[in-house]
Amino acid sequence: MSDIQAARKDTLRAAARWYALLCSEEVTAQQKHAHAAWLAEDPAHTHAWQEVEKLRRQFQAIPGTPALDALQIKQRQGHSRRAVLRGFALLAAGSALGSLAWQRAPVDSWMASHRTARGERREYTLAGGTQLVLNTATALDVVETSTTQLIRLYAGEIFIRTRNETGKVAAAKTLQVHTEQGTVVPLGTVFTVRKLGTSTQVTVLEDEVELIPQSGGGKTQHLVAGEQAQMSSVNVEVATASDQADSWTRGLLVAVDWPLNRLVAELSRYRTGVLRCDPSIAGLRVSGAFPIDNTDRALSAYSKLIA
Amino acid sequence: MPVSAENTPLAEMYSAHHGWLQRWLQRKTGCSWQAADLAQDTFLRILTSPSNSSQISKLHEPRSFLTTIARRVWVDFVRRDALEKAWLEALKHQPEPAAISPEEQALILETLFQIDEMLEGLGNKVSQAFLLCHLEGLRYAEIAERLGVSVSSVKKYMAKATEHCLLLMCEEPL
Repeated sequence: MSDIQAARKDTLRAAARWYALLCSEEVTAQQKHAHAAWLAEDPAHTHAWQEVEKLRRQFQAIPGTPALDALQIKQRQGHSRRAVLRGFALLAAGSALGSLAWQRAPVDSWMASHRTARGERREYTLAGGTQLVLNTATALDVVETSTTQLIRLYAGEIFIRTRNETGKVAAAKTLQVHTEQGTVVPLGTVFTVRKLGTSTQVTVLEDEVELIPQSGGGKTQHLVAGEQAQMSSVNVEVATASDQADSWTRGLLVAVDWPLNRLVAELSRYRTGVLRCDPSIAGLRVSGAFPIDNTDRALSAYSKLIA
Repeated sequence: MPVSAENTPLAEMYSAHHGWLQRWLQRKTGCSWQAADLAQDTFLRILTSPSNSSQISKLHEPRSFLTTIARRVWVDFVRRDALEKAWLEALKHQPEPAAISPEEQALILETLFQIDEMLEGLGNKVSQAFLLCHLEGLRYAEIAERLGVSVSSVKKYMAKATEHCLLLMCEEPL
């Protein structure tokens, strides 16, 4: 490698480090100044930074959530270059295998029976009297079997209030919420379930629920009122819940000392179009109650606040 | 393919080996129309890549060169196909039936493919951290929590992934 190439590599590495620092919510004003000074130091630095911006723009050009899901689905299927090449080598071994590679993956034919659009909120009463509220951008199916009332949550967030104090739908019928990560069984009355990218967030508002991660080897986790948990497909992490976890059912997003980028991310769930936060102000702390039925108002209220 | 009419090294290669390559691909894939597509794409890739085109006249073993390129074409094809299926799958799970025009769809898929290619070879947590930050707008603390690592690891992952992507972006296109 020539010296010029080596120097260029070093500059790109430095740009990458700056970027990782600036994306952090903990970046200080001093560090931002230092970054500006670094940029001004050498045209090569500015040039490298333009590449960083180019990289960022690629991500801004695509809808975040489905893009992330798609990349994760593909990663799980393991189509790395090496794996595909291995497949290619295998195909050479016998033509009987040949056509397999072209077969389409099985496609679920379901269309979720209950859904809300972005910014929409909808309330249902299920058989047995369970109250179900769907938050923005939510999709689920309700499946009734003889022993279970099963809610399959595919996306979004739900609030559930069971009529029966033990969380049962009827004498011999249990309510269950299934997500990609596992099962939520209420042992009481009021809780919310939110589907995040690779985890499921459960918040208990009254009584208790039980969480069973999909691949947790039968492990279960009890959650009591005031607790919030992140369930992955293998385990559960419990934390204290904010007491405003269900404020969305009343049309409000309540932020208490949140960094601005979290507020922006939460508000953007309720609106179409892309909402992003400049990294230079992403870490500003913010508190307040924001109307989610009118996110434009929430945003303009907030812009006035920081202006 | 326009080159077949001209007297260029690629045109010669095309007439001498195209049939063979297509049969070779058919044995590999077990499907004649896929083999025809892949063979065509292989020559197209050589045609559109200056570094590949310039090598042709110096080749001792054109068939091994062709199969090397054909393998890459195949790998890209399978990865694109998998990504497209994953994308359609992901769209189905979106609560809102998305109104995406075919043009937008093609652009999104191309971008996704580029991102996926760039992140290839990075560790799972490194690429997850990078994607969660950019596509979900998560804070480092939230990413750390999701991945079960420290916040300083997230920062390291971000730097590593960014550097990896920048180096690829600034490489000579192959």
